[in-house]
Amino acid sequence: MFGSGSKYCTGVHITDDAVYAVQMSRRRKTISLSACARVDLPDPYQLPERLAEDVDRAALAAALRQLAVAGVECQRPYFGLGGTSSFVKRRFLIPNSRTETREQLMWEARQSLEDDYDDFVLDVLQTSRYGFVVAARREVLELYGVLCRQAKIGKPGFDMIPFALVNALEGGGAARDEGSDLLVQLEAAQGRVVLMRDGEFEAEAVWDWEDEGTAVSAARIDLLRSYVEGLLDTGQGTEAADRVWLASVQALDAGEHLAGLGRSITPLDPFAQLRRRTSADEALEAMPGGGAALAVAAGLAFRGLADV
Amino acid sequence: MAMIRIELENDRRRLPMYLAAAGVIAIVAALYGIDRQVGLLHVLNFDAVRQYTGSILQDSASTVAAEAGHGNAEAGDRSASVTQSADAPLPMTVAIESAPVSQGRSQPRVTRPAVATATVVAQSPAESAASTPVTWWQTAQRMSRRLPRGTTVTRHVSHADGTFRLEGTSLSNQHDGLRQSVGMLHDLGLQPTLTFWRAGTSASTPSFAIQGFAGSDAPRTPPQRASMHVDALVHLAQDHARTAGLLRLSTLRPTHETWSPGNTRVEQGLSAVGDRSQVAAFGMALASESQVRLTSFSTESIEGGLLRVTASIDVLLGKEPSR
Repeated sequence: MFGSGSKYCTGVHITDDAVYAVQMSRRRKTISLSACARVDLPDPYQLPERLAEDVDRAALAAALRQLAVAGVECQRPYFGLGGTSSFVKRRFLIPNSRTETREQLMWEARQSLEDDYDDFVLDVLQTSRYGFVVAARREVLELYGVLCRQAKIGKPGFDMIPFALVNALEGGGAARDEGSDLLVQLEAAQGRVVLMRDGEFEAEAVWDWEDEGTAVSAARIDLLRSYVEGLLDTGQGTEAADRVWLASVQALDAGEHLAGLGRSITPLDPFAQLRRRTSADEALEAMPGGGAALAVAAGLAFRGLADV
Repeated sequence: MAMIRIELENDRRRLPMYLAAAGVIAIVAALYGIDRQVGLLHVLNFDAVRQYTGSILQDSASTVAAEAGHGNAEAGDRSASVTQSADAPLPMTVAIESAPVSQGRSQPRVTRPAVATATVVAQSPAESAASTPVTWWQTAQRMSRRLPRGTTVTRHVSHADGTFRLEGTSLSNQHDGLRQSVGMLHDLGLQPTLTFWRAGTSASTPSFAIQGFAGSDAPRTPPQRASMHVDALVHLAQDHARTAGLLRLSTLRPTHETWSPGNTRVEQGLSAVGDRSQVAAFGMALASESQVRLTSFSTESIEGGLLRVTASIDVLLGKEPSR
């Protein structure tokens, strides 16, 4: 609205079977949930491979256009990157020098990527314990740009899915500066666990399920537990996380089987501290999985709002 | 706690260049059109405009090129330092039977980085529980001890299939001793062959090479994995190298080979520099690694009594890797 001064951003999370979108607005320091929606995809969708296929990309563009019908505008969409389109590598810090650490990490990335270096867009994340090289394939980012033009939505911004989960926890006001947090985000074809320690991103585990079903089976629970225990392994045994956050529909289903991995196991609600439009509140109520299902999309929207 | 804000903008740096070029072209086109239709700009020398806009484009292009050149030069400096040391002449060789203490005196100490391992992708406990036979690697590393005192080994290559090759120099009066040692290796069933030659002038110390087959208990096939993350092999090898304290890490481009229908064998090479104990620790770590198979391990003496180690590891993927 003219003169309102509100800034908008929409987080778009494309999973195997659906597109989740969260539109947020910010006026001064107040962030509000403007709209949210889920659009089912006709076929299982694997990113980023199928973005390169014209037919598949057209189907996804059609799904993105459906978001507008559901009341979600995508003038500033933010997409989450994962899978083979990107990677996060944990490295060491050079003490007391963020500049040198950044240079070292970028140099290592160049060594590691060799001839592929120019094919990636790179950035660095530094926490108090580690440095992380973050890389995304330039070609994939360009394909997202093509997708957005096809869908007639705004130019895309990007963030890594694990970072979006961390930002969702922060934006929802549940982040703590002490102890360990475990974010569990499960999809039909893939699982992801993010470990935070003392409020900082520390590690991520991503894996493909070995079976092709969609239900949370005993085998899937075993695999999930093994990865969680791997992340929480201190070298002298497995510690329990202080807090486990469930950040997807399937993660909610798996929650009851995760006893012993965390002192508390809670659905992640990224909108807990936000004002909500009535229509957005209604859409959220009707959403399978509620706020937890929208955790990644919400984290992406939080990230996008930080730029405007 | 603060929000994580990384920047993954694909075309942010290119945009000003495109905008500048598009803007200049639009202005020139407009001026040209106006000039043709209404003659308002007859006083303006169009060639001068063209030269001016050309110089703007040239300036901005040269600025971008200079920035890119600066970055390349910086990277070039670093890679040059690595390459230079790798290609440097080999003024010293390592006397294999000399006491380690005497080597240590003249040997600059390689600073060990902080020992810690970090993997972003957690491993399943089932993967790390298995143990890998390392006898073949230990046997290969002990091979040079069977050579007579005073023989100098400059290169040592061992493969997981049990074959090995030792290269070095030995004075003529020690050749009989060397033949006897090789005879003992023959009696042990290692099928050794001994070759002598003299490189360069006749005054140079004769060189020798021994190759043979020591047997192997290494896995015949690489460990199989359903999928693998990008650069997982590099990551793993680099972590072991850093933990051992090796420096000047350099990775080779991984090779992909169709192993059987639906399976791809991926092999990753890595080279680094360190002292004898660091190289041994690195080799032991790789040989006993259950997630991958160590396929070859070679050491070469370089300046300062240090060794350059080159190792290759492989893994079998159930489907095509992403890179």
